[in-house]
Amino acid sequence: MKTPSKLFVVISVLAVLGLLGAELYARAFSPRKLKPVEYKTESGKTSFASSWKTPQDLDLAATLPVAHLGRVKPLDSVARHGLTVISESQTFIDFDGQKRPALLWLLDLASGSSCADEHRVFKIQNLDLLRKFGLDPRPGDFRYSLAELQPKLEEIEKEYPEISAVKPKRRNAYQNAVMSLSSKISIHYTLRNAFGFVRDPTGIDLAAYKEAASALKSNPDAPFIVPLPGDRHWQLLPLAQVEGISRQKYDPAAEAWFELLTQHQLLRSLDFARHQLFLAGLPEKALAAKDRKAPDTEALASARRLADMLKDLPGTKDAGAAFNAALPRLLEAAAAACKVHQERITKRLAEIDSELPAARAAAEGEGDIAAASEKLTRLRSEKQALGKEADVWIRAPSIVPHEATINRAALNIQCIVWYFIALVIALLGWLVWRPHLRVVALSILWATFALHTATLILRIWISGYPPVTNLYSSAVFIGWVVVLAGIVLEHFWRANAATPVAALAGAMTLLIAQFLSLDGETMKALMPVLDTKFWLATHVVCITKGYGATFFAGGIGALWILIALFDPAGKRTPELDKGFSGAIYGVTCFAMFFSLVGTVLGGLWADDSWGRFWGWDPKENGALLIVIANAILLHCRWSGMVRLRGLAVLALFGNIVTSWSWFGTNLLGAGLHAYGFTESGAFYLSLFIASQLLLMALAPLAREKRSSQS
Amino acid sequence: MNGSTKPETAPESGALRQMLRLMGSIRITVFLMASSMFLVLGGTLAQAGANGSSIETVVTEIFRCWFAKIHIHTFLPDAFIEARQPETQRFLMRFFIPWLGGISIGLLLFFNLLAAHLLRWKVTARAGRLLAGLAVLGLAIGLGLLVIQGGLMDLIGRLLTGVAAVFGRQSTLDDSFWRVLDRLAQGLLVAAVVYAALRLLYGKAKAGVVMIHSSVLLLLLAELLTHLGAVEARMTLREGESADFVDRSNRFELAIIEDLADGQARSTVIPQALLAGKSEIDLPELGLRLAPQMWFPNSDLRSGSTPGVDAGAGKELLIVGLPENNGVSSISNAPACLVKFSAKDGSPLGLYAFSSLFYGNFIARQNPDLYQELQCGGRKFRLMLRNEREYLENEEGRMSIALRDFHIERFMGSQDKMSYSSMIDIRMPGESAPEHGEIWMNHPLRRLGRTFYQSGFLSSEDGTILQVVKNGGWMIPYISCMIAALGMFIHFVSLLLKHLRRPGPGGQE
Repeated sequence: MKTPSKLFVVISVLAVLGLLGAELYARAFSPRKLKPVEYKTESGKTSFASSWKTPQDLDLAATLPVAHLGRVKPLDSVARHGLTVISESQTFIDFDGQKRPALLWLLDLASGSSCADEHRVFKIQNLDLLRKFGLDPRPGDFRYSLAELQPKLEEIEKEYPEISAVKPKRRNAYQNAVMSLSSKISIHYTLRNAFGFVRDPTGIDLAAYKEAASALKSNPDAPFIVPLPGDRHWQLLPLAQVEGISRQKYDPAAEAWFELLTQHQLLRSLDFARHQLFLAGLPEKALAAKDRKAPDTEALASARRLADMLKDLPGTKDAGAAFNAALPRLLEAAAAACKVHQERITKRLAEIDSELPAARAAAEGEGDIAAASEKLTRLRSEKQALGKEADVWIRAPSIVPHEATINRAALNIQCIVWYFIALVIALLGWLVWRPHLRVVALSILWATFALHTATLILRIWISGYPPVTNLYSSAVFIGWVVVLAGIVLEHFWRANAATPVAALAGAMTLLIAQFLSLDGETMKALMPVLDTKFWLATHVVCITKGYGATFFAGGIGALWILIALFDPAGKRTPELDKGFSGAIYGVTCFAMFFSLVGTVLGGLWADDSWGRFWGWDPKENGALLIVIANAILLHCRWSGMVRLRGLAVLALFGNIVTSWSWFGTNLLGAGLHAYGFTESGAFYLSLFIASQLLLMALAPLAREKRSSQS
Repeated sequence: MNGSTKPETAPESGALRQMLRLMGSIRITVFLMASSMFLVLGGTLAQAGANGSSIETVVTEIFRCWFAKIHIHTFLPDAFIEARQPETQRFLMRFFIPWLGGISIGLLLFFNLLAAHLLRWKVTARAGRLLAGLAVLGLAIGLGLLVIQGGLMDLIGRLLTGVAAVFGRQSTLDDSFWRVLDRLAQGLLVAAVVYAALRLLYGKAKAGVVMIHSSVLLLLLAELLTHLGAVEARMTLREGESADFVDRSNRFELAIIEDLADGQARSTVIPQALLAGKSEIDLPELGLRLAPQMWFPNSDLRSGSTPGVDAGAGKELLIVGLPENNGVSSISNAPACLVKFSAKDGSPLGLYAFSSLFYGNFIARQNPDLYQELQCGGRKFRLMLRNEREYLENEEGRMSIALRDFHIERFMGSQDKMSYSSMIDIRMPGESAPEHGEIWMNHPLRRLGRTFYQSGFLSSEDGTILQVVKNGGWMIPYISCMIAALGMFIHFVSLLLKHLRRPGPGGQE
């Protein structure tokens, strides 16, 4: 194969880097502007609502720190996760028909503004359920607002107890849809209530209010938004208000939140009212085209009343400015609280460190050993607890603003798109201009790999954990391993074969990750038994590398079968086929290494945590199957039982075994990702396995090219 | 590729050699590995679904047995089976594929490997090198045994701590990190010596492969040892309580307790095997005769009365037999039994129903112990079906553990538990003063050859449940892991280097 000139390589690399960099910059760092909408009547006159602007500094609001689901994160992440669970999207369509970020939806919900229930965010695809609600299916969107659901909601809610009694695995599609909607609605209310506060606290029954608010404390979805200097735990806003009323002085952070939310409610309610009025003035045709329902007369009247009232309120015009002014106050209050805790934690840690040597000596020496050893254990466990607190009060707050930027960059999506581009170009290379397109595809793969690596590093940085902690991150990491292996292999074996396989695997695994992230928070706190960084860093990383390498070998096998079947442009030479054989073999050696060591390490973890090395449970068995599948391939190859075609078939078999171990074993036990994964997950898994079986069945038609002497 | 492709045939080819060649055939290796895959798949599917069996059942009936029955219905979707008539369901359940069980496959693999080593993976060293190799191998085995017995535990631990202190990183790493690293380092030490021995015996090219094979053998050995000797149990303690015994998991006994006048109690226990049997049990010392009527491997309690029962709690509670819980559900089976009691002279004392759900420790203290009473010949007995009790003792006496405090830490802004830990006082046999300790997740306590792990807690959050495991061979997998890792690393790296050194375009092969 001819190699293209150096100049071509340099130009290709620079062009790819330029394109990717420009896209990244545009996504993450250019300031976000929410388009104000020009409302025009048919005559072309600008109407009443055209003065609408977005004066809130949403970029700064996105960085507000919040404790949610066991970690401190920016408000933006809470919004994205919440909206993803409810709507399977990180944006929503605002009442004026514009696409807006999740943060605006959360602020509407949190502030209790009148448009919050109007946002079409609840995704319902089950036709039976829609019929019960009396709603028409909206193909391509399937999103409905709470206001639309409200009339029949009570009726549907009556079915909850009956459906809850049915085991999750036994539920039909309708029942699943009802339960899924119920959990979405409960998240909606949890978010609303966690930000909620009584706007006029004079004369309320404080005890009852406190009790109602305290119930939220045990709700796992509730965000805790008030950092207090005097409390180790972040506080719920309603409880901070109760506290403030009884002390007759609000905490500065809570006060800033009140201000922020009040101003937001004012702004958005007014906008919404204006919009309703504007719609009322539009002719029928325009309404139908926009697919927005005209407000009925009663709603219209109330909107008009509201608009009139709000228009004349003092300070309305300055609501945006007031909102923006509250932001730095809130950030300062949070920083001040963090600082207090930071000092406390650092001081106590230093004290413990100075006390520890003496305590250790006392526990090992003569005298009252029982008391000494108790003191030592207390010191140690206090130190451990402080370490966790340091995560919350010192490490996390410093990362929060950056997390908001990272969210905006949406690196995952960018990687998926660019991996697909690399795949298409590499495959095109098998038809024409192989040497040149190979270089282009490889440069794209390199650049996308760099982005992919960045997502992993950022994730490690934000979560403070090794790269793989759950199914979602395993997908991201497996893709990364395959692409890395692909790049390395492509540099040794310049055949343009590793690039397409790696690009496809990168895109597919990130797509799977995107799909898995529909469950919401992907950096959830870990169960105590999993919370050991050593094992996460060794066992889990090893085993996922094993998965990745097995998939990569399978991908090369699939590519060879396809190329051998179609033999595009007579590109195949004995050397090329020898290369394929060597690549499958070499990659499987890696797969064998990582899957065997990873599996044994998993057993050691189980021994360390539960006292048994091997328990024959489904996940362990799945890992064992991958090891054996790889061992079979290697033994077949060593003994000469198979040649290239056999290797390709065995590698495809490895793909089936690995996909089953990765996801299939989760399907066996219900409830792990009950509604996020099992329904469609099983379908896609079967589809994947069927595709591999099809390729295996086609293999007999593929012929290996051998050089004449062999 | 390497030596394995071309068997080194010796000039003579006797019948023994022929047989060895057949036994050591790599085709048999592949066949056995493929069989084991089917077995593992069958054993996994058998645990799932509505008709799934418990992990214990699957392990005894599929993995740790000579011949296994792989039931065909486990491959069919639940929905498909449920849509059939009950007769059809039973009909479907009857079919199975007879397959080699785990023990058979393990043994056959062992012989296959042995034959392969006699034929293809022969020791190449001669004379002095052979002796040196054997000596190092002896050293490796000795070192391995030392590690397994815990002899090196502190040495390397201290070495590592010393290194860590030099780099000043000690404070940032938690205990579990060092603990595990310490064990892996011990394994690596053994593995390195094993490599040295094999390198002497087999030469550079083959040592890596022989290492991988021996690590697999070692893992099989560890599994065998676990099968033969490991004991799993639980210890349930409320704050302020202490215990000198553990409850064996999945093994039960009927305790007949007589409270003596001096405040002491005397217990007589009937093991599960006898309760599940049909033969009468004579207890002349207590003046009692027992006739087991029925044994339920799994059961539940309902309101109503158990048919036939005319004494004790079974009159007010209905015991219903249930199918065994499947492996995926991770709920343990709750056995029950019906036992007829009579006095020495044969006069009936009543038919009693016993359920493990009456035993407080079994149900994580959701209810107190429910003893049933029996009177006979002026003596009063308390009866309880409970987990088999194993006392923590050695020659010097009993050890006991007291729970001083149980503590749960939650994640901020979440009900999810961050960690939970038990503060305990340990009184070792023959020691007068208790020693203080703490057990938390991934931080077990090892005493008297047993390991105490933090496993769960009482729902009232004022008591702990410790998993207690006795397994003498627990260090073997650590060694095996490092032998496999080192062996594969050396083997694959040498293959790669050999390949990279080869000249020619295209690189591969």
